[in-house]
Amino acid sequence: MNCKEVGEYISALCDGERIPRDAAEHLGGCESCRAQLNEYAAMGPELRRLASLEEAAVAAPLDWTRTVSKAGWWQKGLTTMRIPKLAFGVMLIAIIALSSGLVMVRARAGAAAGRFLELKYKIAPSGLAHSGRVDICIMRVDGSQKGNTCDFVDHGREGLLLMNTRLTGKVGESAQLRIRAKYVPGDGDAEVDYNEALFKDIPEKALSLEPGEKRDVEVAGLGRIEVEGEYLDHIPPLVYRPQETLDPDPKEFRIVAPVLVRDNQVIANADGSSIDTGASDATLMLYVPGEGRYLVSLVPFEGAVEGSVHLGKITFSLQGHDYLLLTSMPITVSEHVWVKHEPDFKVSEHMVRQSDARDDRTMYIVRSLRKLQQERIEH
Amino acid sequence: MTDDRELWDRICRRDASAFEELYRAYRASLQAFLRRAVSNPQAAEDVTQETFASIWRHPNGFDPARGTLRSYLLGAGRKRAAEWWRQQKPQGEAETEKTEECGAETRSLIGDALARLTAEQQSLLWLREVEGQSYTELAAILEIPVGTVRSRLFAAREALRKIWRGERNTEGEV
Repeated sequence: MNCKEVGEYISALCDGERIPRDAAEHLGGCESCRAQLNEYAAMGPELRRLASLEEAAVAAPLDWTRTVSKAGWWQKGLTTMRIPKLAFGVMLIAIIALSSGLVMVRARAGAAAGRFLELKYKIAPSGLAHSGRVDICIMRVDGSQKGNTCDFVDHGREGLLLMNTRLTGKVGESAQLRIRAKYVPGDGDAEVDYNEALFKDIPEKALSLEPGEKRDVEVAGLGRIEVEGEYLDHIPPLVYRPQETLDPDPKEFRIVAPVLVRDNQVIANADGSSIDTGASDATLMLYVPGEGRYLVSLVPFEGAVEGSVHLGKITFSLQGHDYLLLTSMPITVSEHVWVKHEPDFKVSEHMVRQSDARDDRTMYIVRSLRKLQQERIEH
Repeated sequence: MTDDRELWDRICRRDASAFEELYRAYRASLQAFLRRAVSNPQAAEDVTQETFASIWRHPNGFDPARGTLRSYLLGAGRKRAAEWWRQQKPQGEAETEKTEECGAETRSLIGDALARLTAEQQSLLWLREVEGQSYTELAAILEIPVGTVRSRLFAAREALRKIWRGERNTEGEV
């Protein structure tokens, strides 16, 4: 087969279709055809990115009545709603914009199209904090030296796990990884000065990982850590929850990188995220040194005032001050929250034991209101 | 999202809330697709409305055994777009309008390159790459054989690649 004859099969290959052996053999030995494959593969994510922008742009509400006047539902909605028409329009924009934002999130990629490698580490049960859980990181696969490594340090009752993974490239579909892992028994409570030197003396092990394949990494003194990889053509909204979408699930309450502003002054600015996916009384507790804590709940509770939610923004007024809580993702499908400020609250020993909380550091968590109020009682 | 069959049954029973659900779920993506199919944003909005209005007035033709509601809507939209083309002036006049009306917020190299393909090629690529329609679904939506889907997709991809590469090179020189 020549390049011209193979072209159609290159296109089919991008769509996950099987291609004839002689076409595959030509492709394997022809740099020009491989470049063509890469360019085809790169066009998909670009088009989906364009689509996500365009769908948001076309989400302005239409005057349906001019073509569906007999349908009635739309017109009836406009005339009988007790909320302003403009507000209804804005609400529709929000709903449609949110649903259209899913386009990119859904797309997974083959190795050829994948611009990012998602690695999942499953730590076997032990005394570590992350035992039995899955840690996820995303790395770039374009050969860049920036963003091609992933580190984590896991503290636990019985020890400390240091882990560093570096992606050096791809061979076929296999991701070529270099992993440094070390377990230090008895040092779980030790302070860790987090920098590159931490991993310097740990020997590197090579690991070749096919997409979807699960491989074990032996860590002396700890046991096995299962590693699984998959290519993505995008960075998910939340790295450690790749299936997360921009619009919150009906049961989700999500706080991502919150900023709390009071009367135009920033009083808290935090990284990371905290999400509750099931509690009907899901509540944010935001602790600010010198300020005590703010409780922002999906349900009314004693002493709380009502606030409004719009996408990633919560507004409320407390004791003569106007507050704005901004987050980088839509928070909840609810339009209302209830907020209380407890200025005398201080970080308890219990919180210190359960997390990395400190009384001189801003921290936040989303969990059941009942549990957060118990925290106050214990304190 | 409710199950396709259940949602469709409710629409057939004149359940306005079901139709609203359909509209909210698919309107934006249908309109984005129709922007490619008719190469004109305003016309795409009109054709989108007409497609939904027609379905509300005469809900028929969807068979869950043959495909998803999304595929059905895209197919219905494509047929409306074909009707729209039949009513238009010669293509040259319509062509002059399309790229200028693209919103600045969505302009991109790939968008500009895509806009230079034929409406049919744009539609095909959009349905495959953005909507994720399979070859079988594409054949049903476009009413062409599966083998033709493959050859037309190749032609569309190759045309887009050449234009896109040219634009990237041009931008790199600036």
